[in-house]
Amino acid sequence: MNRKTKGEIVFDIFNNFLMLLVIVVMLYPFLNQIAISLSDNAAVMSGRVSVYPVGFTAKAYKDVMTDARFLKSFGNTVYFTIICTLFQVAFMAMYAYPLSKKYLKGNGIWMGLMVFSMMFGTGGLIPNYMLIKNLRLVNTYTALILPGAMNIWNIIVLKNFYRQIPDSIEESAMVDGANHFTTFIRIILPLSLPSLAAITLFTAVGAWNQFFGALIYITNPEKKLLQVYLRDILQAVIVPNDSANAVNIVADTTEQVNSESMKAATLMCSTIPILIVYPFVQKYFISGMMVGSVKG
Amino acid sequence: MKTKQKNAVATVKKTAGVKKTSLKVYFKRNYDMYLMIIPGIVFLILFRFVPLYGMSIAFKDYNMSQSIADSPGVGFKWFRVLFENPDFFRVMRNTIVLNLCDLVTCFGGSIVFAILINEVNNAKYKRVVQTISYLPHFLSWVVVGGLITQILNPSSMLMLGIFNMLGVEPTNLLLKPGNFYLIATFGEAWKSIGWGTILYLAAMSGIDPGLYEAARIDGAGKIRQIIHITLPGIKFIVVTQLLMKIGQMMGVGFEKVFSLQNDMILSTSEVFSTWNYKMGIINWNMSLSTALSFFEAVVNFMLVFIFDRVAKWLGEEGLF
Repeated sequence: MNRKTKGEIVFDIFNNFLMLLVIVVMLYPFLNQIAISLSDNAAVMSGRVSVYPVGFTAKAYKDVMTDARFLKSFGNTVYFTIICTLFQVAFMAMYAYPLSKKYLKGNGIWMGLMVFSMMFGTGGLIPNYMLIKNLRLVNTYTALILPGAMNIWNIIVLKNFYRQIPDSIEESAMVDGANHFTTFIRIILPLSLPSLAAITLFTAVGAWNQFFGALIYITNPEKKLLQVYLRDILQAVIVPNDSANAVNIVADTTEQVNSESMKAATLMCSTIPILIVYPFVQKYFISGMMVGSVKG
Repeated sequence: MKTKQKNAVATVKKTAGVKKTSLKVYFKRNYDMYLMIIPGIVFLILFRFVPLYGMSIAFKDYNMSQSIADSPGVGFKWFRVLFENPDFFRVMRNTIVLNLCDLVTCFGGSIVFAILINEVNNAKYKRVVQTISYLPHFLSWVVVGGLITQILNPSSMLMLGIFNMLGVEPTNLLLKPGNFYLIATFGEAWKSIGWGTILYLAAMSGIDPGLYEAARIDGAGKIRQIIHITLPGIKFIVVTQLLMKIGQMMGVGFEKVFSLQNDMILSTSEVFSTWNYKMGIINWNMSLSTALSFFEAVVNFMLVFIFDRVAKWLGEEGLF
């Protein structure tokens, strides 16, 4: 390597500094919220908390962790995420397999219908609501799980992945007397683990972050999901005279600890599962993104 | 596989000595494939096509007590009501402005950010920047909206500092209509610019390093290397991504706006999706809400159609 020119050195310094700035902008909101959640009331209200706690106290976390409604919605969301991910991934993996076989009669029709429905969207808010209502699925998690299983983008990704598996592998299984289903379970699925892992992770994050469907279809407070609960908590103080409901939340949760710490603690508690898992699974997300971008 | 299948069918035919049974044999061989596909077809029809049929209530006087088929048709009545609503064009303006802001900042920002990440020499530092900037993509808009609301709280340290520096009275910026575009666009940029770099970075890693070396020997500086080597190297992906973005123009995410919105700033923050939610789910104005959905779907279809034509015109693979 020859020596760097002056211009390159200036560029490198500038660029590295800019990246540092990006890191600060990305991390500041988190660090700020963690600090607020661990700080004492007076310090937060007087704006003295930046990225480290002032007047350290873990009371906000203790309150969140003993709040029955938080625990309920957290538990609901864990349950919902597991069920939703298992069903949707199994469904899409199975549906995409016959679609990947070009010789199968009817595939052209199904693919055509899927592309058609992609272009015309999902049919609007009320028609979907009517459908869920007529199926008697309002206030069930099934209302959120079933429609989401028809994720055409993921199905096409899986279909393309199956196509990359050499035909000879399946043929040898068929010669040994296995039918298509056995071949799929025993041979194809294990070979597809990398792309299944990526789709599983995307589906799980989507389920954890589920908000719109939960807002519309789940009105029973016993079944409330975490994102909706979190919105209630966050919204409670922004417009204090908004509704009786909002005032109740404030009154209930802010007896001693100030609501800013409480909000910050709830925010962190509902984000922590993603923050913990993220570094370990990041490479699967990226590989999943790559698989998805290959058109076929 | 296709020929193989045909051969197999032909062999069976020959050995069994039967004629005209190829279809039967085909089904016997592949019936389990059809069993596997049936749930998918049912879901496709139920969750994708039944709601499309349901959209016909946009042309009817519909209420919960009767079926869609029994409701009296009223032609374009609801569309007239919709377009005559003084809010309509304001909501459309918000939707378009927010989309254009996102297009410029997030689409453009991702390209610039990808180029800058690519120029970081220290592999470890590069990794850290990537990991941290991808993270917000996995947070829900409720969380991101919450973070933004908390930061903009007038009693937060950051806001107090800024207000003190400027010497003005602390106010909540989220309650002023004029700020919404800026705040929403910044939020979107914070959430998605990092993740948006992935495809560009992948394309850049495929560029031959020899090109940069040759350019350096010829005396090209960093900026000229970026313009003449990096940008042409990612041109293809930039064009496809841009067209895809334009194809999705109508859909400003409900969750983004909903989690940043409040009653004080509806004039600039109401977009089609949030308006539709209030019309349909809060006020149960079903036919009107569906007329709006129908309008959105038509515009969206036209955008996708134009996108497809332009993509083909540019020599790329189209959609259909």
